[in-house]
Order: sequence, then C-alpha cells, then structure tokens
Amino acid sequence: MLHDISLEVAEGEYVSLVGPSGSGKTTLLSLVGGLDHPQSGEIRVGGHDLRALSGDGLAAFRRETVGFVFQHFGLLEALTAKENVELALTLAGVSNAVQRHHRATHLLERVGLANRLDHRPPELSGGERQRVAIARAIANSPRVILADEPTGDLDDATAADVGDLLEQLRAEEGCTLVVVTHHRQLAARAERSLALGAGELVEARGALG
Amino acid sequence: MNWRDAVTLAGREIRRRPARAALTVLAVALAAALLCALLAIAGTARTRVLSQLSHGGSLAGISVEPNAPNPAQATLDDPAPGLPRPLTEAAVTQISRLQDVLMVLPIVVAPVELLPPATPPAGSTLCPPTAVGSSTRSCGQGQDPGSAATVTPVLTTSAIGANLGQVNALPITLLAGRLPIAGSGAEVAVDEQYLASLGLTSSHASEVIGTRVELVTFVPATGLATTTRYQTAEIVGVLDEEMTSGDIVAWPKLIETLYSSETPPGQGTAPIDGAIVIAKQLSQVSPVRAAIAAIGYSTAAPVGLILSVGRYLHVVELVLSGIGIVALAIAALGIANALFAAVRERRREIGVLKAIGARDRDVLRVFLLEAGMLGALGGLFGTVLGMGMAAGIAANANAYLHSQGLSGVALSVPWPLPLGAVLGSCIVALVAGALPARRAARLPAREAVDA
Amino acid sequence: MRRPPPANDPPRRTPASNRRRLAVALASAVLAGGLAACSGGPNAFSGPAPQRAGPVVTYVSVTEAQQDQPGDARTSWTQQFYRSSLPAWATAYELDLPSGWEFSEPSLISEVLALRPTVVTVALGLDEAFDGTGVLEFAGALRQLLVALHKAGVPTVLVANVLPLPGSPPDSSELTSLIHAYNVTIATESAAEDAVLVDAHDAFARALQTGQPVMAYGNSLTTLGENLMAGAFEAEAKHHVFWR
Repeated sequence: MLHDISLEVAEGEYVSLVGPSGSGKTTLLSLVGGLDHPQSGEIRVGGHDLRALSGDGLAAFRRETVGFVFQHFGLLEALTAKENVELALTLAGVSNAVQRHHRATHLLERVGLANRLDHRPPELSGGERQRVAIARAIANSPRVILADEPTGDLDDATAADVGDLLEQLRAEEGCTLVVVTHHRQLAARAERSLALGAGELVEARGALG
Repeated sequence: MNWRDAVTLAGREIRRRPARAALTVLAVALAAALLCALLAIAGTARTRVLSQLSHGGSLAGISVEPNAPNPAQATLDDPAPGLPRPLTEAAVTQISRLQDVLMVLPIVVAPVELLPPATPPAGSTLCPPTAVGSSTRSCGQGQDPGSAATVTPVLTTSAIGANLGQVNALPITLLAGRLPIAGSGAEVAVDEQYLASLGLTSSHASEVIGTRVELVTFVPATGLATTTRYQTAEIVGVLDEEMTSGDIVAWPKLIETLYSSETPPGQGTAPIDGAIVIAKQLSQVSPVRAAIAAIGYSTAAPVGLILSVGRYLHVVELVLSGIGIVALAIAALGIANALFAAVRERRREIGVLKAIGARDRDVLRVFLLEAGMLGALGGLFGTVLGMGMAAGIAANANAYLHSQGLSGVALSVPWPLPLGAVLGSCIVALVAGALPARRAARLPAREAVDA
Repeated sequence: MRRPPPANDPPRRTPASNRRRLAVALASAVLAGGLAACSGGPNAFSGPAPQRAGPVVTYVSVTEAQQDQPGDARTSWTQQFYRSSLPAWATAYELDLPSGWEFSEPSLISEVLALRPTVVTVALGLDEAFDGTGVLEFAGALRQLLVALHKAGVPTVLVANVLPLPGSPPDSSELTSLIHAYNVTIATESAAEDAVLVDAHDAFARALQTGQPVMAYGNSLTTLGENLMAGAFEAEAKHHVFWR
C-alpha cells in the first residue's frame, strides 16, 4: 500500500527505484504506467492526467507515451521476435506491413538480434528475450520507458548488457527512463535513485556508488 | 488492431496448443458431420419417398386421362374416371395454355406384339435348363428358342410414346440402363412385365439391357394382301413401374411408325392415350386440375398424399436437426471450456497486451476469432466427413435396393446444407466463445505485472 | 531526440501470405468438389453409346410360302434371311396372300411398292408350274414385277429360281421340263432387270440327291429346306450389301 507518495521526474531523466520486496515499487510503476488507478491523488505523465483517462484513452496513453519492460519479459510465445515488436506497431495503428517489418527489423538489429528475427521466445535466451522486450518497448518512440526489474531473471553479465542497452537507447531516443530494480549496479547507473520503504518514497542519493 | 492482424494472432495462438485445438476442432467436426449426414439422408429419403408417390415424376405432375371427369370424386387424388372421351390435339393445346401450367407431355400409344428375343438372356425360362432338374437355364450360342417349335408372342401390349427428354416430369423410374436417346426409332425401354414374360425377376433387369425385342404389327389389307411387319429394337432400359397403358416406352417417332404401319393411310397419327401436365408449383395442382376438368377431362394427382407425407417428413427432419444441433451445442461447450482455460493460462499475456496498448475490444476480437476459427475449421471438416458418411450410407442402401430388384436412391444434397453447416458451426463457436472472450477483455492491465 | 518513422513502401506478398492464399484456394476446390460429388444421381442417359443406324433397309418378301401367324415366324427362310443377312435396324414385311392368288395380279406390284422396299426377295413359280401356266405368261408376269421394282429403284432384288420336285427324276416329267423353262426365264429376266439370281434349284437338287429331307409333300419346305433356302439367299445377298 502506497501513501503520501510525491514524485517528480524531469523529461529525459534516468531514475532508479529501489526498495525491499513488497515495498510497492511495482505498484508505483503500474500507477505511473497507467496499468492501475490510485485511490486518491494525481498522476501526470507526459502532460496526461491519468485520472481523466479510462478505457480506450488509457490504452492510447500506454500505446503512445509509455514503453514497458517486464521482469518476465512479457513476450507472446506464439509470435516470433520480429512479430512481438511488430505487435506494438500494429496496436499503434501502423497498418502498412512493410513499414512494420522495416521498423521491427531495424530495432532488433539495434539491440543486437539481427540474426534472431524469426525465433520464438522459447528459442531465445533470457538476455535475448529481454532485448526483444526492450525493442518492443521503444517501437512507438515512447516518451517514458518503465522497466520493472528488467534484469531480475538474468545473470550478472547479461544484466550488465541489458543495463548498457537501456542507457544507450535512452540517450538515443531522448526519453525518460524509470527502472525498478534490486540490482545495485543497475540502480547506480541512474542519475537519481529513489528508495521506497514502508509506503514512503525518499531520495537515496544522486547516484549510488 | 485490425481484423487481419487479429486473425494472424488468433491463428498463432491456436497453433500454440495444437493438441487442444485439434480436440476442439474434432468435437465440432463430429457434431457438424452428424448434422450434415442426418440432414442429407433425411433430404434424400424425402426426395425418394415423394418420388415414389409421384412414380418418379414431378411432384406437381397431373395425369390427364381420355375420360370425362367424375364430378362426385373431383377432389380425390385418383378419382374413378367418367365416360371415355378422346384426348385430341386441340384439347392438349387448350390445356397447355392454362394459367399455372408449366408443360404438357402427351402420351401416344400403338398396339404391338412382342416376340421373344432370338437369344434370350441367361436365366430366362425361354431357355432350356442346363441339365435335367436343373434350375439354371442357359441359351447356348445361337440357340433360338423359336427354332425348334412355334414361336408365340411373349406379350400382346401397347407401345407408349412420350417426350423422354422431359424424364423428370414423367412418372417413370429407371431400374437399369437408360432411356432411349432423343428421337430414336430403334431403342426402347421395357417394364417389369416384359421381364416376367421372359421368366426373369426384377433383379435380372440388367440382363435384358442390350438385347433386342421384336415388335410385330399387322398392316391391314388395302388390297390383295394383309401384311405382317417385323421390326427389332434394342432394349436400353428397364423401368421400375408397370405402366397400365403398355409395356414398351420409346420416343413418339417409333410409336408413330408402328401405328402408321397398322393403320390405313390417311387415318391420322397415333392416338393420344393421356397426358402428363406439370403445374408450376405444387400449390397450383388443384386449380389446374379443376381447370382441366372444366375443359372436360378426368385427372389424377397424388397431391394430397404428397402434402400429407411431406408434413410428416418435415417433422422427421426437424427431429434429426434437433439431434444434430444438440451435438453442436455439446461441441460448443467444449469450445467454451477450452477458451476459459486459455484465458486463465494467458492472464499475464493479456495483461501485457493491454500494457503495450491493446484496447479491451482488441482482446475481445482475438479471442472471438480463435473461437470462430475453431468452429469454422470443425464445420468444414465435419461437412466433408458428413457428406462422406451420407454417401457411404447411400451406397449401402443402394446395394441392398438393387439386390431386391428396386431402383436405387440418388443422394441429393441441397447446396445450402454444406454452407449452412460451416456457417452454423462458426456461429455456434462464436456464441460459445463470447463469455470467455468477454472475460479476457475485462482483465485489468495490471495482470502484466502481478505475480 | 525522437527518431522519425521510416518512409512508406508499397506492400509486397510474403511467403506466409502466399501460403494462406494457396490454402484458401485448395479448401475452396475441395469443398466445390465435395459438393459436386454429392449432388445428382444416376444419369437417365448413362450407359453404352447407342449404335448409329444406317440407310433405310425395308425388306419385302414376295413368296408362295406364306406364314400366317407370327408364331411360325422364325422357321421360315424369309425370317431367317431377315435376321441373319439384314442389319438390326431393318424392317421386314411379309405379305399374306390369299389362296388362289396369282402373282400376276397387277395390284400385287402396287402393294409391294407402297411399302417402299429397299430389299426384295422373290420366290415364285412352283404354284404356276403345278397350275400349268405357260412359260410366256409366266415370263410376262415376272418381267412386269421385276421392271416395276427396277424402275422404283429398289437397290437389292433377289430372285430364286423354281425348286425341283422331290422324288421325281429330273428328265422324265413334263412338270420338270416346265420348271426348267421357268428357270431359264427367271435367269433371263433377272439379268435384264439387274436382279440377282439365287440358284435355289441347284442347291435343293444336290440336297435331294444326297437324300436330305428338304421338301415335304407338295411344295412345302421342311425346316431343313427353310434353312437351305435361307442359306442360298444369304450367300448371294452378302455380295450386294448397300447398308454398310
């Protein structure tokens, strides 16, 4: 349960959110990403007042403004890597199949999976799946990327690669990046780190050493 | 998400669980097959039963007789005829111009005697037994049953002529072979009475196909001599019914030849022994009969019996349809169960879909399409399977009927049936999938991150 | 900085879409084939192809040995000839002539021609010989008949000469001499009118010499005789076939 949470993230800022299990990090991320509604209070993301959105409006917000990266990767196992990325474009209304193909291929090449386009998630490693998820998250050039424990299921080396990738893409796309993580090294990469405990949010420090 | 992409995603999800999809499709296929087979057999049986009532002719067929109508029995299907009254060409023309009359087929007759064939088919009682006390009879090569003794006619009968091109309108059913070709003067079809005259049963009908029958007429003396005319014709078909007018059926050309040979020149054409009138619709048979009676001729038509039997057959079809629909409903439960399980298994996946921007109706569309595609596939396979089952049953029935010397049944499948079976299966599947799809659409996006 | 979206390109077919199109086409073909196979029933016009008839063949026999009933039909040589030498579509007329008839009756010719024959067999003379009709009179009547048939364009006319008398030595009887004269006339008149001579006399003479019972009392033929007569006509007819 979160209460009395006040958070402000500047456009383009890289913020990490740390805290013990059950502290509400994922809940806070869900509220920011429009996956859930607060019982009270106000949430504004990218100029959108989330309280005023519902149904299709909320779906549009999630489609156009936010990109999600989940701990469990969140890929559709029936689709290939390329098709998972294309799905985000499809939902955004990109009807031209060639256009989707080019964009998805470019993104997957960008995340280093040029030779894994037609593989389904069960055929990919954990790190590769997360790269596909990241490519999908930035497919519609969102203003905010929300990553919930993106390295939670990865080993240290792979986690470091994923962390590098997130940073690079944030810099290239110019978007805001909020990462919920247990990983000290990942949290330390952020420009600002916030700690969530007992339902309250406190500033950790400028950067974790 | 447009329909095309939703179809792609739905198809992929179905292929992800091939065993579950196969079982669901199989359930729908079996139900659809049962429904198709039952309705096809019911439809064929209906056609056969009603065809028997109309003696193989059109259900809207009316038999006009060269008799005056019997007013006391005008409404009966087969009234007793009144006094004889010749059916003239003018009367036939008048009947053909009646409102609601589709066509008129005059029947002409000529008296004829039939001689036994020079080589009767094996099994005929005209052939000697192969051994003393043997039941097997065989006519040896070139053995003419008339060569050792006086040859007597096997039948003194009439030859009937009609436009055999309108076979569907004529009250005849083929037992074996075919009807004479158009305008032929050398081909005939015979009936079971002819078979009996050779000592053959209906099950031997095919034995006479290709044999020749000798038609004998007596040319009246106009001067010095009376003349006997001989002509052979090839038997190309055997008819199921015994026709009251005669035992030989051919095109009018042959009948006219026979008649003119035994009539003094200038005595006109073969007399019209009756006519088959086809009303435009079954409901117009009674008014047409009344109009023909007003012209002055008696008619017969099994319309009352056809309508009555048709009602009972319709009830049978409804019952059979009900059985098939129950089977489809059971299959639909299977679809619903499978989809509910899929929704439970894919909660997180549905949450992710919403998290990346899918609307509720996008999720609804995908699940409904999954249900519809399972139903359509099942309906398609089931229709083919059902048609095969019906064909197999018809083949077995025909084998039995032929062994009993009866004409077979033709499997008739109205074109809406297969189309309806596929569409119906699809619709039933959509209805079955509506609840699970709605549940999936209402899942919160938070499911993407929930443990 | 946001990256611009890629430019639009015209759509092109992918292998997956081609597979879908092929699957739809195959399914449609299977369904159409299944529907076609399941509809319809026995064809009222199924069966072997019908034989084609040839030119009109109408056979008229002008003979003394008349058959009264169809029951006697098969045994007569005219019926045998009709069945074995003529095509299946041929029509045959047998004239029933009254007793005491004379073949010189003019109405006979008109009745024969009224039937529009294309094959005529003539077997006359034995009755006339028994009646003692003179050769000239016989020749005149025969000529009248054959001329009329020739003029009418009858394609095939077969004329048998008069049969020998059974049990009589060939050179001792006045009747035999008359028969011989008749036969000379028949040969002459046949040749003159393009009719075909059937030498039945010779066939029967040889048969009688070997003791075969081909003739019974009077001028009637036995069954063996009918077969012999039919054979004689068949042997000549096969050289004058116009219906093949």
